[in-house]
Amino acid sequence: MQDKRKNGLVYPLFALVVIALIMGAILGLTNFATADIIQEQILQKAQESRQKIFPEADSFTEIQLEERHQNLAPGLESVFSAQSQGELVGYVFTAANKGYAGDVPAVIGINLDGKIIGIEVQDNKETPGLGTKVALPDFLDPIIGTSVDDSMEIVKSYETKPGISAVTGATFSSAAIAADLKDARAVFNELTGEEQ
Amino acid sequence: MAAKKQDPLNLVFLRGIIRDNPVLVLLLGTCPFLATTTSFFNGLGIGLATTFVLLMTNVVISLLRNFIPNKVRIPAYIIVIAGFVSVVELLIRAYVPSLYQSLGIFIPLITVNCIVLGRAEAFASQNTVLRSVLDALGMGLGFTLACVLMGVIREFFGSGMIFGYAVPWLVDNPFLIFIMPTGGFFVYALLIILVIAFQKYLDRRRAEKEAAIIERYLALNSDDPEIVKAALMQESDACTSASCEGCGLVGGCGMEQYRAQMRPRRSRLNLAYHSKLKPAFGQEGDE
Amino acid sequence: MSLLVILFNSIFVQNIVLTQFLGICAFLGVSADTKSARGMGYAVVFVLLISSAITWPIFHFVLLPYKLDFIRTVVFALVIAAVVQMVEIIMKKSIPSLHESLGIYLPLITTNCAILGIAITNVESEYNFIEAIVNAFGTGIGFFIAIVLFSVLRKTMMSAPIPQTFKGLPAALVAAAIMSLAFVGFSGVAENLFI
Repeated sequence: MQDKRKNGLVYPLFALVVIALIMGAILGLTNFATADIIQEQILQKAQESRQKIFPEADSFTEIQLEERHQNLAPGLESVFSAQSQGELVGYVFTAANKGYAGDVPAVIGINLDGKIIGIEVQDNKETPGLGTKVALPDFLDPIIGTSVDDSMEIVKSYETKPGISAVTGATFSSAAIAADLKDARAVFNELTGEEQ
Repeated sequence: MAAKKQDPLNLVFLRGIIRDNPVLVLLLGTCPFLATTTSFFNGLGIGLATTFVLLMTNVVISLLRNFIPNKVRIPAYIIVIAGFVSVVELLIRAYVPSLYQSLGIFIPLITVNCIVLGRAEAFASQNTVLRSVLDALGMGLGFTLACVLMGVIREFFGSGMIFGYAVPWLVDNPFLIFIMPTGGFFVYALLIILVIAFQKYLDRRRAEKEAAIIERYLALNSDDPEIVKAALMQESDACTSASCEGCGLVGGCGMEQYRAQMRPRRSRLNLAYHSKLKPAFGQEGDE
Repeated sequence: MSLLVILFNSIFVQNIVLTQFLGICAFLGVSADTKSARGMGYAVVFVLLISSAITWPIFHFVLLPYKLDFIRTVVFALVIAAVVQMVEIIMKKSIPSLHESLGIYLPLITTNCAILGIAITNVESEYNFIEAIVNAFGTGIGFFIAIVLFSVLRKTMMSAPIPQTFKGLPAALVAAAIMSLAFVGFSGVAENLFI
């Protein structure tokens, strides 16, 4: 009952190719239909983060990253300037550095006085319940209000030197956030330095 | 091989829901079932996503069942399954992003969900499109119901919420263990106990039915194998197409021992058949 | 990030079976006796290593540059199926004794969530190649430890006075629940262990 050609080599391969083409077409079509929506969501989310950090700003403009910015801040992903009624009020930096299990992206808002007015940790793959604690207010609140001139070194809970208090047992995740902050600081200084 | 008696259409659909529930009875697809069902919404999400993939895959494979040569059937199935999984992944990411966040890696893992590959191999490749659709819907619905049940229980005890709404006191003092893997295993154990109890009940009912048939056989006391066979075949359905035989991959999931352990198929009917009738029929159709 | 930390993480803290819930089918189904559990464990380690070694380059050198990352599931699944098939053939020809003990488990591994899961995790966590291999190896070891321990537990439970309601699968699941709870104790340890 087995068709003789089905036992050869050409027909099975041909069948596979046909199936691959059919599925490829279906998948490609879906991708085409959804790509824009997904892209839109990503942008929307980013916009919401910026707005949350800089509530008084009414518009954000992306700043083109140049090579020297990348050199100063290896984890930097984007920089936006925040304006309120046409006046510059600060910058929003997005940086991601390696934590425990991949990058930990953070959105950091710094106003013109050099104060960190907001920080939000984005989706990451840190250890749930441990590394993910860096996204919680307990860890982030002490950072808000500090200045770019303050120490951004990670400090363990039993140490008394100045710096960012690490989440106990999540040193790597905390260090990632610190690195993100350092990236933001480096570019902030660059940007405000050139405006003088 | 004797022609397998085909189940009627409504049975093809219904058996996937309770009698051959993929995750509670057949013990397939346990990974996403245990991992993602931390809330009603998540359970519903993974259930529906898997049902979608099951449905589309069954349809396509059933349509192409005479076209796909046996030698390359597994790669062919994988292409189809993975293709539809990628489709559903994109759809969820675009239209239900919160679900995409919570299900995470388990959406692409539907590809290796034993249920999908198992049904494709055991059923869709040998049945018409209509039957395959019903089978997919039945199995998918069974899986979704189980996931939702699990999700509601774990959400209630583990986060103190029901369908996303906070339950007073419980929401502030949740039994966190239920959302953790430990809780998953534990609730699964409890559900299995319920299933075993239910099956014991069904077996009792079946035993009663079989006693009646054996009586009839003894009363007939006929030498004509056809008459006796007809009497037996009326009630026989010892082999469901959800069984492991004839499926290289699903049976290989290693579930054979478990199913035997959970549902010892020593029906008196089978024993009677084997001891008294097989010699009369020769080597004909065993299952 | 320290490779040792990744290793410890994948074996204990994020144990593939008891924490990440991948590979349950094999874990529950093949752990009836220790010998098969060991065989399955070895096979999983082996396939994990090879498939991770192949899927990582494919993703980074072929899929990403051409913006085809949305077909990674299809490609990875096919690669894994092919790897398993090839491994089985090669093993049969060159090390027949090994094939006899491991051989039957190899086809099962194609549907093992752990293999595809790790392939995807490797690229999503943005590991470099070495880190991906270490992660795959550690995951395999973690699986091996989990399944062998579990098989020993189940063997011991067979002679234990378990109430009738729980006999069989439910008791095994409760045992798995307790094992998984035990592994929770590892979280938080890894970070400060190797610095």
